[in-house]
Amino acid sequence: MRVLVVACLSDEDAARRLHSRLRTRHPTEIHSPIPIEGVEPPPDTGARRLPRIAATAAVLAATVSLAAQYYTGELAYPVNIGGRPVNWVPYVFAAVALAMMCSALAAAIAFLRLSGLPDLRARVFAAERDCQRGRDWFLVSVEVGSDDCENVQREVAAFGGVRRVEVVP
Amino acid sequence: MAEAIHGTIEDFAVRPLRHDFGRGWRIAVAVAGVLVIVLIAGLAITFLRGIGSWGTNMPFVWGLDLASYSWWIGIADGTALLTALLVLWRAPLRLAVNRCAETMALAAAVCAGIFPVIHLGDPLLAWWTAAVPTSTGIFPNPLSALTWDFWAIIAHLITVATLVFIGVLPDLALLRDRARSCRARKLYGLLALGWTGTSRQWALHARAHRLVALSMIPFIFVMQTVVAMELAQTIVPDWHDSGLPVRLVISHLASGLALAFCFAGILQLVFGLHDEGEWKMLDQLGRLVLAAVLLSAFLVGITGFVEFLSPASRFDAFAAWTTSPAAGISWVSVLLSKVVPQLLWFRTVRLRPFWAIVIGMSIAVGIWIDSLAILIIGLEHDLLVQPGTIYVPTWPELMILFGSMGLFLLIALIFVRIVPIISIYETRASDEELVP
Repeated sequence: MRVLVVACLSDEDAARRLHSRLRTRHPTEIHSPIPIEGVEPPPDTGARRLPRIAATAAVLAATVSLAAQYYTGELAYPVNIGGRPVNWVPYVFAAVALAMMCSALAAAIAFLRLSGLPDLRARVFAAERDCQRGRDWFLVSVEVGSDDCENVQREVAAFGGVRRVEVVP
Repeated sequence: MAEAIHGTIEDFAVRPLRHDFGRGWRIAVAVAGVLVIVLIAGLAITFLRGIGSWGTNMPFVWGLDLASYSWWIGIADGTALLTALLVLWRAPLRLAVNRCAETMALAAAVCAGIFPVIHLGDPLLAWWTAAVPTSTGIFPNPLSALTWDFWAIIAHLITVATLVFIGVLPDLALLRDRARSCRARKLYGLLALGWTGTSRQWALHARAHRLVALSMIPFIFVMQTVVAMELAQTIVPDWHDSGLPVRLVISHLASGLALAFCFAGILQLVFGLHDEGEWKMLDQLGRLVLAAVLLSAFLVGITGFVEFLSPASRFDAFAAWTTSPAAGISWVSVLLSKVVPQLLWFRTVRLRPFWAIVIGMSIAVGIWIDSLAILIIGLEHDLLVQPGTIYVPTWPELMILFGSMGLFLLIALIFVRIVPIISIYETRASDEELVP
């Protein structure tokens, strides 16, 4: 059985040091109200995939929009009964608007998905929340097996700057 | 010292969220609420009696509704452009202005969305502009400006809402963690979607926020062009001008920037932040507004210059704009949106919140009058019908215009009570931490 050892700290440096010390041995995460400089996100974060996802969504949306407008304006009910050539310019407005909307939505959805959100029952919430009510708080959570839990708990508690340690099943 | 300043900004940011937040806010909400009731009454009259209750009649087929639509779109686009650029450039200005600009962009887009629906004549058939077959089995015509309106408004609303939501997500989590009441904790907890501020989430958040901001920029120009093209594609001489879309885009962007400038002035005057950074922020924003106004004036000048170089014609738009019987409105718009902002050349003026409010409002009102002048003078100059009298708006039109201002105000006022007016996490983190 895996448990979560959660340490509450009020010092950014201490949180960074604790995180870097434990991350080589256990799956460790740092939780903070602001982004912390010098803390590398896990390698599988996938932040570089976001621009590609957004660009793909934009291209797809523009293509579908142009095709749909061509179909409705030229094939389903052709309004160019005088034999004029297809005028693509008026199709651009809706195509760009849709492309940008889909790009933004795809980036947002991919961000939520890759971040593991929504997760209203995140395990870290089960820890005592008094720590998070102050202005400066930092949590370091370590996922360990129940056998290892006591050792890690003791090691974390002994670390300088740690205000409280909890174990979340 | 820096810690103390951050503490002050944070207090300032969350001050409107407190239970005991000033009586001024309640009075403002009451005023906005009354205006929203006026809007509902105006809409009810329009729905029940049709658009015959408006002052529009041949040849004045468009009046206050389109002027207001174009104006709201301009404000939505100008503020959205400002917020997108601030996010992308990580300009220091963003700390003070960004959340306000985002709020205004969202509220203005909601207000703009009212007008295309009501000017259809039969609002219940507004869904005909969507890309679905109507009851006759025919798809809407993609060459019609009405379908462009539909997509432009929908896309703008969704994209701005996405930008606002992503920007505000970490602050919602912060408010969830600090909430004292169970109800507030549940509400903010639901809105924060379980954000815990992990390094993974921060890395993805920074990139997603910038990507959504980047998505805003191209279609801001498309959206404003849609409004201008609605005019330019007609055969009305004053409107059938390839320069009109560019002129409208720039002047309306100036109006949006001016409103953000005005709002920043109001914030400083009401909440009283007086540190050096705040003054610098007004200075920078003032320069930006002045640049947009000068560009807009240059484009108006170019229109006049091109007409001056061409052979004289009875269809000359610029001559009509400056000398026709209704030219008074265009001169008022020039005074308010081009002449008054020249005060921004003076640094002492740029640094005063009072002048930010006066000049910002002056530009916004001037651009609204400019939209009206383009419509009225264009239609007065019609090819087919010689109007007997000039267009005069009726009460329902004025009720809808002022009511939409109330709706804008109400959305902005409610928003500042739900989320911090300044991004807390951005005030506390350095740029190196925010940009991956």
